[in-house]
Amino acid sequence: MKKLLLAFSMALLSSCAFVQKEKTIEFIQPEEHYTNAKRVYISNVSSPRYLDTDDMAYIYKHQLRYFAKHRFPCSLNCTVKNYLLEALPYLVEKPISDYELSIYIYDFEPSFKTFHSGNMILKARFYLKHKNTYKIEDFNYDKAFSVKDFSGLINQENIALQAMTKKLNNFIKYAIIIFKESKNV
Amino acid sequence: MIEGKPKYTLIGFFIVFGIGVLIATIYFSTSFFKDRDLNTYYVLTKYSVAGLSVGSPVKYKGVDVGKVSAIKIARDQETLEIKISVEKNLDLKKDVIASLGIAGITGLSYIDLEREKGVKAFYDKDLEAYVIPMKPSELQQISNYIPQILDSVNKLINNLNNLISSKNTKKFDTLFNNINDTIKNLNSLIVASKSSLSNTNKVLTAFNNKINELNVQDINDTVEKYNLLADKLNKETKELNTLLKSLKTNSDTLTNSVYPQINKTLEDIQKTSKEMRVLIKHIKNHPNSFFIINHQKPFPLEETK
Repeated sequence: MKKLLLAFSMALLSSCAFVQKEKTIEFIQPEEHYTNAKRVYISNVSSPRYLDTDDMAYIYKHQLRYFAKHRFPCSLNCTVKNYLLEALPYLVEKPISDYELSIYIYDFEPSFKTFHSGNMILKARFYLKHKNTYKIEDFNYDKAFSVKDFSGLINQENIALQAMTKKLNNFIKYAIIIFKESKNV
Repeated sequence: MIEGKPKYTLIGFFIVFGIGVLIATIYFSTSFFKDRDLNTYYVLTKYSVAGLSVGSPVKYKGVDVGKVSAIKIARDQETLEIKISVEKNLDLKKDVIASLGIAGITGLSYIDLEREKGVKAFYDKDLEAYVIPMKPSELQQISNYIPQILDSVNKLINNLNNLISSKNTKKFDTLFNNINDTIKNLNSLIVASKSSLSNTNKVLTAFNNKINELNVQDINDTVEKYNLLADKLNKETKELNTLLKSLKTNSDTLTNSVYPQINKTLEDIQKTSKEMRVLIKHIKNHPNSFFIINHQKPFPLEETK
């Protein structure tokens, strides 16, 4: 009888241990879209291992942590790639273009000074390859914010991504022009 | 000498009668009056008009309708200008063509006018008359071809001469000799064939005798066995057919329904494996996530509503 009770209680305990409370998925949708005559193949979006997770990172008191109740729909790389594909419709996922884009994200997290304010940080490097020639550009976003709730924070993240998208679009356009000019020379 | 009173009435009558006779003579013997009822046309040709002379008739569908008034050689020394006078009631300005007709065996010629659609006479200012187009007569056409025909005949004769030259005659002799030899050989062959046929007949007779000697019962048995074997083979073939049909049905089912399902399953497996990879990565990054419900406290902002 004792053994039976022990087994039953163990089963109850173990089932409790594996139950994890679901986090709220935060979808970030682009508000602006850009066009381009040339198609560009987006080959890779990468980031440090601690960022490439569906957990949303933040910095508080010089420590990197993850929000306990909110997460991205997929890993950060996947989320940013999907965002860019939607905002820049000329980006393609198949290598059908001579122009190949890859992005490395160094930082993408809010750095809180108080519980409701801080700085939004987004640092990335763009690489555009065309026939063994590269064009590289860095993007640094560091802007103060003050929000009332979590949706405000998501909006700030969206603003940061929107700024990056705009910069990326300009970079691609000018890089293609330079590639063409160097070809003509 | 008796001098009577002249009879003026009689004299007047004779004078009037004489003038009438004179006019009639002029009318019938010349064309002075007739020409007034005629139209003048010209016919131009470069062919010979032998047998045609001034006064030769002009016929329209075989009927005399006028005559040749003049024949002149034009300035170019090649063309003949034949002036014809034709009855006024006949309009020859359109659909009429002239040719040289030959009257019988006399060799006399005449101008023959025929209807031919599309032909049109043109007005010549120098001649001051319409010019009717002329086509060569059949005789002229034939005479045009005569030199060519004669040339061909000459060539033919030359070829025949070459054929029967002494050189070829020798070849013909050899050929005839060869044909003779062949015929002789054929004759000897026929004789040999006759003897061969008689031998064949003998062999066939011997073969017939042998067949007659064979045991018919044994042959019948063997045939019966072969028939049974053939029946069995038939049955086997039918079964094989049925098997093949069922195989085909199965393969159709496989192609139409099972393969797509397998494909879908494989796609699902691929998707699942991708998700598994993500999950494994997540577990690698957060190995304690299975065991800790909330590994850290929610950030106060998350609690704000």
